[in-house]
Amino acid sequence: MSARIIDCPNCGGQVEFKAGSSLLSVCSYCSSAVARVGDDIGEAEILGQVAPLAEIGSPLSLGVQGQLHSKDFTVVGRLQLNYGAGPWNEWYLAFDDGRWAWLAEAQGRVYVTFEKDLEDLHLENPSLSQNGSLPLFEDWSAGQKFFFGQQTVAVSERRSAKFVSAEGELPFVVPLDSTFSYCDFEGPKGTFGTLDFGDSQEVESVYFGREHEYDSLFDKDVLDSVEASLAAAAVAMNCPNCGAAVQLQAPGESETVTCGTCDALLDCSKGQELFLLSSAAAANSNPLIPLGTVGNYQDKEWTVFGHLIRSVWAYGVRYEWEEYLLRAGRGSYRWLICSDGHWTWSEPVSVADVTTKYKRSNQERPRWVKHKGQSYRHFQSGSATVEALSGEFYWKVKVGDSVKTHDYVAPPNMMSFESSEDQDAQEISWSRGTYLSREEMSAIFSDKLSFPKAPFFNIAPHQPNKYLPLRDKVTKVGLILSALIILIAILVSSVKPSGVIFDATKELRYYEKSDKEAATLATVLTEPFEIKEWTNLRIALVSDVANNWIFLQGALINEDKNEVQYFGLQNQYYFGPGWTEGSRKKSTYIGSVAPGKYRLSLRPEMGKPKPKKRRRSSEEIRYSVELKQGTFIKSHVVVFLFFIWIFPLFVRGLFNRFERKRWSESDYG
Amino acid sequence: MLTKIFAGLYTGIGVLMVTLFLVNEWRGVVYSSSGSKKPIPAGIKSGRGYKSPGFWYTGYMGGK
Repeated sequence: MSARIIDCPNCGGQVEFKAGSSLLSVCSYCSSAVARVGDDIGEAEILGQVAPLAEIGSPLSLGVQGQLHSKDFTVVGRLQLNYGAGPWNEWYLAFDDGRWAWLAEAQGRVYVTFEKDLEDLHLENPSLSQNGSLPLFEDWSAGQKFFFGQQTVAVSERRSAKFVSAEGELPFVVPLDSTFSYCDFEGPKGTFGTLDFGDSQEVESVYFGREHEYDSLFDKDVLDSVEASLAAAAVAMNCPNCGAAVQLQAPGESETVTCGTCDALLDCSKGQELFLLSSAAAANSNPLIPLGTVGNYQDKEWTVFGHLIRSVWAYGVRYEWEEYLLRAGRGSYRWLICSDGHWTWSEPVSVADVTTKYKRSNQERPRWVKHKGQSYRHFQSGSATVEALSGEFYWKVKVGDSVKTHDYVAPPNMMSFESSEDQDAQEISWSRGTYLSREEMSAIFSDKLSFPKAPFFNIAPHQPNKYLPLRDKVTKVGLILSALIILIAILVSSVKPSGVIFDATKELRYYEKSDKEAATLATVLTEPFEIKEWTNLRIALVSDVANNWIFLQGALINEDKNEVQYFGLQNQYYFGPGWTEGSRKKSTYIGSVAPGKYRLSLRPEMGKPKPKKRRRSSEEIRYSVELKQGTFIKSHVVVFLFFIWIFPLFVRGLFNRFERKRWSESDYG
Repeated sequence: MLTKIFAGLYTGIGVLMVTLFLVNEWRGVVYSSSGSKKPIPAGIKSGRGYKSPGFWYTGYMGGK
């Protein structure tokens, strides 16, 4: 990189163009914006005076050198922009190989983006294109997805801002104090980009890159020395309301701080000076976890930086919760949220990593969202308002700030959507929360703090269902036991002897009970038969009885043990025009029949025929008897399965009751 | 803890039930079985077999 120097047309001072890509340089003597004219470095024009830079704490400055993917670069320029919530820096990096990039600082994080080809940008829904070209600025919206290269990305912010100041060189000629529009977008794995509309409605250029750590780009010594000087300056700051000393924990990152003495709300984004935003002492939020407390979670030390109380109105009731801002080093922020004694660990996720699903196309918000393969169901929506705050925050915050929220749950996780919208801008963000038990909270703070127990009747939207582990376990065991029962039934019925032992068809004529001779003639005694294994016996009676009954007195005689087992079987069947009653088939079982030699004795009886009645009854009945061993009885399996599933079904009932209670507090309750 | 206790109890009882089912099925137990076993009444067996159908007139079948 060889510097070219020209004389400032305004003051004659030397103006440097270190990078070949630079088209504008700010004269360090008179603050004139000096633009190159054409390719000739010797010709320049004055675009006007540049306003003084706002003091924004940053570890970077002109001339600082760094490396990105082993490629050296130098910070050669800075642009300051503002959309009304305080200025931010965008640094112009010139690489030794001739390339250039933007480095944006936001919330302690840095994003390096390179200018890319607009042809890499493709819309997810081609119908949004305007006659083949990209949509106008006003047609883009936060949350809108599109393809950049091979990646799906989503717009996270759409707004207009002003170029307010600059120093050093810039890669384009920009009228300072002019307004430009942009859409920031996010992709997976920390990728980030900007659609630049300039001062028009059409996309002029696109920048794409990713999020980085300061330490990965710059030499640690350089950063530490700058940070030390920032911290020293921060120590010296005093509250403009009460004069008490205010010490910033993260100078250069924090934009809002409350005075620990008078609770005034102060703007600390200007670097070495504090500005009063509000002197309302009522802003103190009285945090349960004192500011400055250090906890340990996910192998990092987190310091409690700030505390907010936010609330939402739902169906005429005001619900309030606390949010603790935690910091673990430069740009690394998380949230601890406490609602009714339930704690949640919350961390930001990329807008592009969240996919949405609507139940109906005209729905105001998605019914389901998906993040990293997990589906979340919509729980509730509202408008969250800041009620009180204390501590230090990386964004401009004040009492009364309000955002729209949608919460989606998949216990123990929750996805929370926040959006702020005004006439000129839209901004959205997603965060993923994980439920923390009291024990986990105590462990994070090394048992130094005690946390009140949540009321037993109050269930958090993403609180794990306490019956879930038992339900899953007993369901699993129940399935295994059921499979065993069915397997045993199949095996036993296939292994054990089965089949017909005796089968006979007879005819029976009515005889008087006193007629022992007729009874003797009608009685059947089988030949001896052998049962080889323990089994059951099924005796079936089928007859052609009509408007009468037939009864079999049966006896199974064990000749080996001299035992007898009696049984009875009856058919009765009556009918008339359009009706029938009873059955012509009947069977019974004898269980636990031991191996041995057996006979079966059957004495049939029938009702007295009544031929003179309206309906003629059987005078002679033809009947069949079948004796079968090893019959598979399905009802046995059903009975055992019923007893096996009583407990799992009971637990499932408890589980469902818990879920009903949870969802009774949602928008669907 | 309670989950472990209840799950353990359920598993234990379940295993006992499966064992009971196996034994019952193997022995041909019938839960709605007819009648009960009784000794054969004296005097109804002759040298060549039963004095059938006198078998039924011993008073064991309710006087039938």
